[in-house]
Amino acid sequence: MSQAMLEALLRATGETVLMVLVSGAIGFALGVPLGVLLFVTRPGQIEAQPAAHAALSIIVNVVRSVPFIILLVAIIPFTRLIVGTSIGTAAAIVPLAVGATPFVARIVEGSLMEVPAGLIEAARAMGAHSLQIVWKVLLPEALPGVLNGATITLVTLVGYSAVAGAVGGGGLGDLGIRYGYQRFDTAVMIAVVVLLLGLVQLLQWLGARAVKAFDHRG
Amino acid sequence: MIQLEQISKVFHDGARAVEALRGVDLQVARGQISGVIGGSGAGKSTLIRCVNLLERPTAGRVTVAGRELTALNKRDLADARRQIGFVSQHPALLASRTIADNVALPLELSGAPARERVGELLSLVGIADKRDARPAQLSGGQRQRATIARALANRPSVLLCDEATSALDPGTTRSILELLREPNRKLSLTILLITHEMDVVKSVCEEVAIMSDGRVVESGSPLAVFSRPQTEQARAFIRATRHLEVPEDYRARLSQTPSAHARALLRVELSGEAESGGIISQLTRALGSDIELVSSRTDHADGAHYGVMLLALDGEAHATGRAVALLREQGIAVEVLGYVASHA
Repeated sequence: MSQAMLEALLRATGETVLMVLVSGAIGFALGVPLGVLLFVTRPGQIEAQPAAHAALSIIVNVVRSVPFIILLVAIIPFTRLIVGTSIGTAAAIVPLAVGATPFVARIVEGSLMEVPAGLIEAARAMGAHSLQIVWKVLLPEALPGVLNGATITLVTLVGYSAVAGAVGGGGLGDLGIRYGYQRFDTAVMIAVVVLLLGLVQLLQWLGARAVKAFDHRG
Repeated sequence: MIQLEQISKVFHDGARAVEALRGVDLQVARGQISGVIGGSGAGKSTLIRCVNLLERPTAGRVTVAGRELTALNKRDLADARRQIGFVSQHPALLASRTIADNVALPLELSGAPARERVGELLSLVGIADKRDARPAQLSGGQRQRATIARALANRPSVLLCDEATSALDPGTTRSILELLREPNRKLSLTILLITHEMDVVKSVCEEVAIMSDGRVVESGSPLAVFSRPQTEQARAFIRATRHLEVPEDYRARLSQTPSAHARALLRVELSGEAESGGIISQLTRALGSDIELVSSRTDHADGAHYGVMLLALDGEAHATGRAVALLREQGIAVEVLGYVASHA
């Protein structure tokens, strides 16, 4: 493999990591509040708003049911509005973040549902306001589940980022398609797959360690 | 301190409406330990959860420490709850926090300094050495101590205990009850507790209310209520807790025919009658033969006996008749269950 190809692989790896981490961070910044909102507005919950819950739930489901490759293309005008272009790594981050947000929201909602109802009731009995229940009870108690969900989200984003490569998003997926697939360069294809595998393994390992460090449920 | 007026609660289960509480009135005076007892499904748990409005009553008024909770908005209610400690059957401690941080939680919520107070509380409940442990590392009794410490953190004027000892063994139950009595004595903390165990009420409560089918059917001092229940529902509950099985060995030989070769089996119910303490000796003297105590569940309080006993005695018709007459003369309820043939 040429020096130039090695440099391209290195640069593509950097782009993939950047896409995954930035879109993951945005996805969490938006998805966690959305997930909390989905949970607390559930019927019977601390801020029960069944109509608002149903509306949010439908929006989340709509975004989640659009195949990522279609979402990628469908929101091009929105992407242009935000980053000024629809091609390249920065442009790929927008659809990745849009796709990650409802995914994270559902994971957070699911983790919050695992928090024993008795804990929420105990906090209410102590005189905790709703926001205090979210900050001091719900989120800390759901943290192991949320971290586990974060790992799943980031690994999924590695896969999505390769899809984003198909429309000129940059990163390992882009490199794999252009050189490995279209130019039949098997060595590049193998290198891309190995690098993606290494990235997934690393994320999974870090995620498992984080969950273990914060899980005291005995 | 606690005043419940005409509390009703209707739960809707689909189209079906279930009346859990039907117009309950209950008062607990300041510094008093009061108990509510009843069988499962009597509505007692719903009742205590209506005191701090974890369950909002369908109708009625709840007043605690002079504030009418049913009239407060959400924010004021949360503030009022900080003065009402709550201990549930299953200790609800946060797994994400150490024991000390769990106990500090109510202090954090109200912005009070925690450090010193938490140390004090953990010593009070006897788990000072567990401050850095996680809830999962503690036994059930220790966890319940931690929730009691947490419930007392804001120096509440009222403590509500919903079956706080029901999941614990008798020894741990005793020590937890002892623990509740201390702040009651020292700080005249008002305590309302819910239980299905008569022993809990007898050991700590000054007042008791018996609940049945969503109503308070009887209330008063535990001795008066348990020994001389006035209503049929209260009697039914007390009888259920004092149920005595006839031992299998006896049941197999039980017939309804008096005989000189059989022993009469009597179920005797003591309700605090004056002479009940010496009843077995009296019967022995009157009949001139031995009285066998088959089994019993009795208690002694304030010089009176109450409970049930199974006695076996001379099975000849006239002897049995005399025993029954003697007991009835003293107002003691007695029932001849039958005659147990002696082993061949």
